Amino acid sequence: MKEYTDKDEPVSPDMAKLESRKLETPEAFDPPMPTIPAYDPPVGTWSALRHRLREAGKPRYHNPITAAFLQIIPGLGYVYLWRWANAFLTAFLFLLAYLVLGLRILQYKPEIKELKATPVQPNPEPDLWNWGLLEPASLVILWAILGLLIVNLGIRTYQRAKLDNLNLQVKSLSEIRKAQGTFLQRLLSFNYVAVVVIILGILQVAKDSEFDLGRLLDKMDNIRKYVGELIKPNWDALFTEKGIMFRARETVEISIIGTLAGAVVALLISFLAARNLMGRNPITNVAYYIVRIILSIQRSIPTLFLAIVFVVSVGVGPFPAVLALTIFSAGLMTKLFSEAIEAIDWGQVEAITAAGGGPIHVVLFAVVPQVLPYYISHMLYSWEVNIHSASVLGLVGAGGIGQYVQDAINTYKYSDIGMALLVVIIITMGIDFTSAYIRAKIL
Amino acid sequence: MSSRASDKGAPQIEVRNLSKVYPNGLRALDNINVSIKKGEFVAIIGSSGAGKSTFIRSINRLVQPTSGTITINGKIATGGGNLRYLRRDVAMIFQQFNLVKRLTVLRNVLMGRLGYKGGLGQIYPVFNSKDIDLALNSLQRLGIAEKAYIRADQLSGGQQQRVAIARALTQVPSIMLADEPVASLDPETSIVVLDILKRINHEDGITTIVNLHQLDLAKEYADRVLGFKGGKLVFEGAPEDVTREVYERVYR
Repeated sequence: MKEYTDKDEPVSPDMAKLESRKLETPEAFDPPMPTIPAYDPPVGTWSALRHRLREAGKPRYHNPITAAFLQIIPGLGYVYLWRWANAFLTAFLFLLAYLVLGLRILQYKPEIKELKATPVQPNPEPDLWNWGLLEPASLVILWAILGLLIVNLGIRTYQRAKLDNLNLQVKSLSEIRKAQGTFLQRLLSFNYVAVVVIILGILQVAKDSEFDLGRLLDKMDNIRKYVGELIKPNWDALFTEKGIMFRARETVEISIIGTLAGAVVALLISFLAARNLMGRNPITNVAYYIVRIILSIQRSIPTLFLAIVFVVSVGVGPFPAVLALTIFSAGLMTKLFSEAIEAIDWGQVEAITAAGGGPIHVVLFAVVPQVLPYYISHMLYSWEVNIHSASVLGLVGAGGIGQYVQDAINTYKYSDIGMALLVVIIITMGIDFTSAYIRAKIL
Repeated sequence: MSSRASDKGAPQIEVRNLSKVYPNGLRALDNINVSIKKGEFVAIIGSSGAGKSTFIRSINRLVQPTSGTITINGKIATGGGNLRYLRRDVAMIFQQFNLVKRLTVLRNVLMGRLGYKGGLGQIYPVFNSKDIDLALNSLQRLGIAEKAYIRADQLSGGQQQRVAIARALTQVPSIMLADEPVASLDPETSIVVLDILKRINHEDGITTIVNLHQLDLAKEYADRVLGFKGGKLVFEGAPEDVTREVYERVYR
């Protein structure tokens, strides 16, 4: 054994010892295979229940024909095969298909069409969407396709069941490949339901949103006229009283105050919204879920709607915009901040805990030093978003450059709007670049 | 310090029927019974997933055991009570050093005093001159006092592990746990770090428990070797007794 006499003796490796050590390494080291310990399920717990379900879902022999016939009700055959995800997905897709077809049938009113056919409509709009899908013949074809899809689903399930049975007796890889069938068989058992449902869905959505390129071409003259005015900015509107520069300054100031106030709120809440900090004991876990629910409600309220509410309640001007932005950016930053907290190196938290530090110590010394640069970066990003929002909020009377644009629209001064637009673009780009530069420097 | 070293021989850590089952059903520790004497240098060997880390983390309760008891210095450490008092007495160093990388070395070493901050110190700890003296003293003992005001992430791996040991020393612990302290270091630095641990064990009489992957290092430094396999204690004995047969038993 080495002797330790001098306490302050500098520690340095003994090279001779190092050399001798190299000879002592064990020869021919086979890395041991990891042994998986036999699973011993606990009794009367959730994990026991999960274990029993997993056991039940293990592959066992299925009758392929039964599975195929059960698919007459789409999804039921998969339940028989214990493929729950497939079952739910199939049921969902078929439900959608029935729904789309059902809607088409409800829309089909032949007798009214016949009545209105002759004189009454003064200015008939061309119906681009009437592709004859509602005619009885088309409907018969559509339902026939649906029937074929069910047959296809049956074939697919039959093959699936056969594959499952094959996996029971572990065979060679080539045998499993062979059991997957020929190209033609696989082509037949392709999931056509998804394709048909997606096509039908896209048609319906396009129709509902009046997607119509013809209308765009018809109105081309209008567009040319207004854009022509917009690209001739009126430079005189810049420095008038309550003119563009005044409103632009207001916009920037709204965004700064809104971001700062939001950051203060987010700083406090973000710790409550971080799963890794809160998920460790039941009380804090409840707090975590409450905060998360409030946040998701808050995120689903549009900022413009918030601004309208505040304009109505505290009056016209920049203040309602500040309030709306505070709430919006507090939510945004809480999400970003808490994600930064969730991404920290947990080892540092462990080290502080192991040294006897309490929960507040952990936050002060293990979390804050790690997340601070991210906080600053996310705050700058939030400021970028806020400057975009602040320019729009004026449209509902909440100050800023939007207010100017609103007034200009009412008095048909499109050249002034063009100038305001130019200023907004310059300010936003300037702030975007600055903030991106600073963020790149920090991280 | 010397009085502590003279106590060597009395049992300090008593582990009785210790088991840990993780929520996913993995039985990481299976009925461990072991007794560790004051001032001993114990090395734990075993392949990955054998339960070494779980065992060491059960001692300072970073892992909550499912059943069984651990008695430290005559007090039961697996019951209720304030973990702060247990943890400031049981220091720990890690494979990844786990320094707070954006703080200075001195600030990191001062983290070792957090366990002594009660009352208002739990909300905002103030480090007084005694704490700073202790921290600088630990740094000096490890030969890195001149790095005190450098940010921790600018040090090399070996230096970072020395800072981590200084942090542990600043706790003035009676037990030192080391969870694979040399697994992310090169062989030469590994020896430096283990020499330091051995020296501290010798000079301060701090009981030291080290998880090691390298069998030759375990045989060289330890007073006693524990071998874990599949959550069970399969070997316990002097380093001289670690033969080829024991090696097969622990690793195969």
